[in-house]
Amino acid sequence: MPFQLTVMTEATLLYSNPKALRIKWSLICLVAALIVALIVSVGIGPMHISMFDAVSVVLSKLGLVESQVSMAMQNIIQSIRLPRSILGMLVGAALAVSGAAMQGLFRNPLADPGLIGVTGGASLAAVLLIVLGGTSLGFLFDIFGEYTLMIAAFGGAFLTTMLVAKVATTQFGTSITSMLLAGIAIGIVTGAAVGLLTFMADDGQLRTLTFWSMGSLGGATWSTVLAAGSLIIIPLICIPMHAKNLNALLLGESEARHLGVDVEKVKRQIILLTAIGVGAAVAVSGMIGFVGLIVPHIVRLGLGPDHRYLLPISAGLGALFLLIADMISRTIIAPAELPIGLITTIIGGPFFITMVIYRARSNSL
Amino acid sequence: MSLVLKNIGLTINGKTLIENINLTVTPGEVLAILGPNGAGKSTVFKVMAGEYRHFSGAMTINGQTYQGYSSNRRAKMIGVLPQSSELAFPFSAYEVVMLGRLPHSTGRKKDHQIAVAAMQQLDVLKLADALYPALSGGEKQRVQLARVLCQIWQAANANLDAENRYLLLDEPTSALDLSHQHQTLSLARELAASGMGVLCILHDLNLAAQYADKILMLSAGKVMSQGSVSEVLTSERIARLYGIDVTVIPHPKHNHPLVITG
Repeated sequence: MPFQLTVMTEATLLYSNPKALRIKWSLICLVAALIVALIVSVGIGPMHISMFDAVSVVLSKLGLVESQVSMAMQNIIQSIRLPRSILGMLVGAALAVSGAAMQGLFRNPLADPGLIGVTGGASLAAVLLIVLGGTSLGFLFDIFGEYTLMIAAFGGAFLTTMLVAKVATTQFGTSITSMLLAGIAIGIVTGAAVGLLTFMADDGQLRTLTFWSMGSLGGATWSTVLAAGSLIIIPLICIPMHAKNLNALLLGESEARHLGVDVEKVKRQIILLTAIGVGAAVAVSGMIGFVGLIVPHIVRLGLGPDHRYLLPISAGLGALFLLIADMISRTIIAPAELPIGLITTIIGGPFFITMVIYRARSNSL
Repeated sequence: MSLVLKNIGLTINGKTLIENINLTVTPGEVLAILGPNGAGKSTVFKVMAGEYRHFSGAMTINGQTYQGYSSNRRAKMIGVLPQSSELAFPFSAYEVVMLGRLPHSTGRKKDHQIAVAAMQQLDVLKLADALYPALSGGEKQRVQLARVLCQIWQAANANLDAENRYLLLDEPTSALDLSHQHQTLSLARELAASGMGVLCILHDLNLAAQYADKILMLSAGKVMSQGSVSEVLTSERIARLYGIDVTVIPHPKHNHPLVITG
């Protein structure tokens, strides 16, 4: 007797995915929180600016209203605080999306750009340029101008990701242990190289190097926002286009191939895109750790691992996370500033340890 | 119109894993592959699943060479159920099944309907919201089979999409209890009856006897014998394949052989 598979038109009555509503509300809340945090962050600092004034300045710059706020305040907002907040959002989004994509690619939630050495590689390349840029590598600045640091950091990030992927991938798939160990090794080597360069650096360079090792958004101007933004926008748009492929990859590489995914191509592109994101982020803000680990993990706890939602919502939450961390960094020891990388590490370190303990208990590391 | 392997061989690092493999998966039939461990069953399976590209010989799907298809089009025609699938991330069972719709672009509503129907068919709809990593081995297997079913589901517009489809199952019953073993293989039979070609690696000779139309015996990377169940499942051949003595008698109730060891 011929067997007919029948599709119920009333399938939604039998089952409907409970996550759909949760995802919609998460998005709405996230956008609202981002807007509020942006306004608040513009108001916070040595000169207090009320939320109302902050909004009116931004609206007046867009030519929508006539602002009554003093010129000094307008200048602070326009040339210091707004670019800084926007840079923070860009960096946070880039790190979170890159982290989420790497975790999907390596099929392990512990694959953070910082932990597997990618940030270290990017940082070493940038530090190399800072210390030797005045002398032997100076010609690079003549060629690439404002983008030199970013291109160097991208190159460092790309090379380390390739290296880690090469070391960790055998014919039997990606070994998570090798990946983490390779990452640690690369982290040690790049750390030592940075240390060596620190010895060669002069006083001015040393100040810049401190900024690298602990991370800061302090140097933000509209031109850094534009330069970093023009690069970061690429992974922010292109990585989510791979969402379905990353979902299939979670099943395993063979399974993804059976589903028609060109696995090698997807891998190459994700590595390239995350290197652009991490490289650009490191170039403008130094080492800001754990964003790529914490943010996607929280999103997964709430919404599950589907990259179609995970990637955009991680981007938003990453932006929010860094915006808040930057507000803390500017206020906690005011008028001085605590490096933002310290804050994310203080939050991220214990978080990471908790994840490791939990995974060790459930035997899934 | 079938899935045909002609003189397929594969050598990796100077070691010949399989050679001179000729087989045909015919729509409407279930072909079981039998053989001892290390005979090359999985290698043949992986060649058909597209895991190895550097095989010698020719493979054709519905008359066209394997390489002539895009990977997306191939994915709509050949569904593969691997032996076991681990998933480190907490997808729900429903989300895993929906992944089967990846090669298609039929819209979310249609995908949902097909996923629900496939889950009903595999008796896993009640697990829809359960997290995949927390399922038992047998439940995982059935969820994966529902996913593969989603992948090669005949589209609504049969005229546009009338190609024959193939289902490749690598030991689909290894993690299942007795009732689910039979449920899964009956489903494979029914799918074959609806026009699919089914290939299935099995270890249980009696399951093969009951559900297969044809059997292929693999030994040391070569085809030892192939043909209909009653032709191939004889005590001499089984003894030669596995090196143990068996008695083959007619099944007391059904019209197929029954293999008893000893």
